[in-house]
This record gives sequence, structure tokens and C-alpha cells, in this order.
Amino acid sequence: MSFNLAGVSVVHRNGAVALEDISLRAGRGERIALIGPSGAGKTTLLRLLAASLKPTRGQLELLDTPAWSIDARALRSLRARIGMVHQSSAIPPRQRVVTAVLAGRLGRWPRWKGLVSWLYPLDPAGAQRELARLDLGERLFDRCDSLSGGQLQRVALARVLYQQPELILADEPVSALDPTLAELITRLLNEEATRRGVGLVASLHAVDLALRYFPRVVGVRAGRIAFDCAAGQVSEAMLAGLYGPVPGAAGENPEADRSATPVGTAVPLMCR
Amino acid sequence: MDSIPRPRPCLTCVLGALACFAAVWASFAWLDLPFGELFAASALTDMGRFVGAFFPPDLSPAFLAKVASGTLETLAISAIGTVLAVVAAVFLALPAAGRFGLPARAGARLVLNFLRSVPELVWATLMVLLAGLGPFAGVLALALHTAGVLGRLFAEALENSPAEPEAALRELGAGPVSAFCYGVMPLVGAQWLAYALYRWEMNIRMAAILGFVGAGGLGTILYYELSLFHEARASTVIIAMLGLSVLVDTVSALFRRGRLAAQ
Repeated sequence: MSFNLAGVSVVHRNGAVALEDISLRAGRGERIALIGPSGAGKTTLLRLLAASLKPTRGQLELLDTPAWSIDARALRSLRARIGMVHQSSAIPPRQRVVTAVLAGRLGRWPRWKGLVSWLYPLDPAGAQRELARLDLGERLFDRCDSLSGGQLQRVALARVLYQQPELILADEPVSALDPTLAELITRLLNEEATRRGVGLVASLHAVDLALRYFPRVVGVRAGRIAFDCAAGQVSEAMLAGLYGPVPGAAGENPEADRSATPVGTAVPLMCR
Repeated sequence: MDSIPRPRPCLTCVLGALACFAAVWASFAWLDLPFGELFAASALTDMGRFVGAFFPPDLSPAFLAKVASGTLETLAISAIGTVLAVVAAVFLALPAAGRFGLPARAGARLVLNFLRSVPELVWATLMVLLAGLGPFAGVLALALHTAGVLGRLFAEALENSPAEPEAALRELGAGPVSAFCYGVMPLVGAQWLAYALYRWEMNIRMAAILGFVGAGGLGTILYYELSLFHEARASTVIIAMLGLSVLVDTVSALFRRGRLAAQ
């Protein structure tokens, strides 16, 4: 199983409820798109799946491991098995492409190997292999600040592929890219996940990409799951309910959003 | 017509200007500066004789060799002092940037402030008492003050660098040391190097002076020759200091241009 969330809630320290009673599970190799308005809790959900945020309540299992009842060492090796495609800002501009990609295995390598490879790349062939798959093989020894935005996003993707994770997460991986590149990156993500048979969860603002490339689409709104459907079952009405105004609440105030009518009532169909 | 808008009279500005004038006037009165005597005819001839004694500089081979070795000593003091300062600055900058909690941050900042607020010459005087006359005292003095300056600059670079790259690496299971090397050093490394080279440049100049309190280098020779009124020899040392300064400026300008071209 990729992950299993049962009754998970996340309450921030200031009392704001980011996620409320989320139950979601995915089998190995399932590819899921998270869609929903900004501030709905998509990023929080992904951080839960990356084992970088501890839920306030509820059960959380990642790759058949209860993430928060294991010791720090085991948590690190669990994190090494989960890959997160970040926005390109997570790659230092002055780093060489090869180093940025090799950093993907820092969680698996012993510390000495990481430090040696920092000074002198130990596995350029491995980095080259992943980059070549993304049409970036010839930029191996260039500095990242000489790349374009789309190329940098592919470096971030190559890092995750080199990490060889068993679950790939992506937090709005294409929101900074033009439509053509966004589609390319989305397609590459899905192809690689399929080829390796690993799970994929990506949050997207582009609903058309989510429906076209991902078999399963989960709508998140105001900290709850609004719907969880196969891509073909998602209807216009469900999307309108997902992105439309919350009845009786000012959109600016998250507190008011939470206290409003539960979103489920506005959405006509729950697939699961 | 009084419809033209006028700025309101600024009482604070007027009072501030008056206070400045009063302060300048009081300073002159207090220090009793004899500017008149400076430009009197007798003073000018005295000055001419004093300056004339510095020419021609003493270029005898024996003394030139002594000045050359003093120059090398000055360079060595500045280099070792700066390297030690960089090492100490890194170890102080990490806690000072808040990486080990708030108490450690406050403690490291206090140490950095203290190191920085004592000038090099004062450190040199103290180190001469502690470590004896000679270049070692100079090295310690430069290292202590420069560690304070660089530590603060390094810590600021750390605090101003974006956190995402390091956080992303921690998220894929990297340990704190690896995450720092791969996620933070590429962001701050170049800046740290630039700060360190700039301080080295300043330290070369400073190392030339530290000898005045007995901490080795060209300054020791200059102080010695001046106290014996060997103006010609002092003039050689001053020319050597000037040459060293020009050399440092030129090399650092070339280096900077090279680095810019490389980017």
C-alpha cells in the first residue's frame, strides 16, 4: 500500500484547522491528482504524505509504516523512500546540475559518501541517465542558474527519479510553467511513475491536466475531501462545487470557511 | 492672497542645526587647535626640513632584505590570521544564525559583538602581553577581531538565504550535515568567500600597522626606525607598505574581474 490516512486532522499551533478528518488510502502504483482552491489544504496533505508534518489526530501509514511511531533513524530512511518534486526554488542556483541530481540519494547514502560526492560527484553516470530521459543529458555539468525555468523543473524531477522513491509526491510542480511545459512535465511525471510502478500524488491547479493524465482525482476544499473519483466520473457540477464560493462565508477568512456548511452538501456526488 | 501652501516651520530642524554649530564651535574651543601656527612661515620651513629628511629612502641591500622579510611576515600574519578567523567565524555563525536555538543564538551574538567591538590594535596590545612580542600576537589579534566581523556577516548571509533547498533535502532523508552542504553552502558559499577575501585585503593593511605595538611585520621595523629618527629607513618601510597596498588592490581587482567574467 502507498499510504493510508484514517481520520487525520491537522491543527496549526495558532488553532487554525488545516485538515479535518481526512481518510484516504492508495494502493501501490496509484496515480492521484489533488485539485482544489488555494488554501484548501493540498500542500498540508502532501506534507503529511512526505512524513514532514505530524498529524494532530488520526492514523497515518506511509509505505506500510506508521510514520510517527518509529524512531528518528527509521523516519529518515522512510523519508528516503518518498520523493517530493519541489518547485524549482528548492534547487540552489549556484549548484551544478549533477550535484543537484545526486542530492536525491542523500537519504540513502552514508554520510561520508554524501560529503565526498559534494566535493567530487561520485555517480555522474547515474545522474546522466535520469537527465537523458528528460532530454537534459548534455547539461550535466552546467550550473543550475544557467537553465531556464522548465529545464530547472526537469532537474528537480531528475533528482526525485534518481532518488528511486517508492512514492512520488509533487506540490504544484507545473504552476510556474507555460502550458506546453506544464503538460510535458505532467506527462513525464506520469510516465516515470507508471514505468517504475510507484505511486504518484500531485497537486495541480490545471484541472484539465489532472483529468487527462491522472486515473484518480481527489478534490480538496476547506480542509476536507470534497470528492474522490476516477477521472472519468468528475463532472462539471463537482468542479463548480469545488471551486465555487462557500455558502454564507467570506472567502478571505479561513475560520469562517471552516464554520460554514460542510462542503460535502454542495457536491452532488461522492464517488468513494 | 494667502492661498499658497507653505511648509510648516520646522522647529526641530532649526534647533538641530544650531546644536551642530554649537558643538563644532565648542570642539574647536575645547581642543585649542593651533591652525594659525600650522601655516606660519617658520612652521612651513620646519615641515620642509622634516619631510626632506625622508629622502632619499635607504636602499642599501642589507636594509632592503630586512624590509622584504618584514613584508613577507606581514603577508603571512594577515593570511594565517584571516584563515583562523574564517574557521572561528563559521563555527560562531551557525549558532548566531539561530540554528541551535534561541539561547545559543543570543550567546554567539554576544561573543561576536565582543570580538568585533575590540579593535585590532587593542587586541594586539593584549596579545603581546599574553603571547609575547612577535608575529604570533599579530596573528591572534587579527584572528580575534576578524572572527567577530566575519561571524556576523556569515550569520546574516545564512539568515537571508532561502530555506527551501535545505528543507527539501531534509524531506528526502538527508542528515543535517549533508543537507547543509548541499542545500545551504551553494547559497552562501560565494558570499562567504567574498567577505573573507575582502577582510583579508583589509588585514594585510592592518598587519602592517600592528607592529607598532610589537606584533611583528613591517610595523615593528617602522616603529623601531622612527623612534631612532632614521627617517630615510622609515621612508623605505612606508614605501614598502604603500607598494603592498597597491599590490593587494591590483590583485584583488584582477581576481574580481576574473570571477565576474567566469560567471
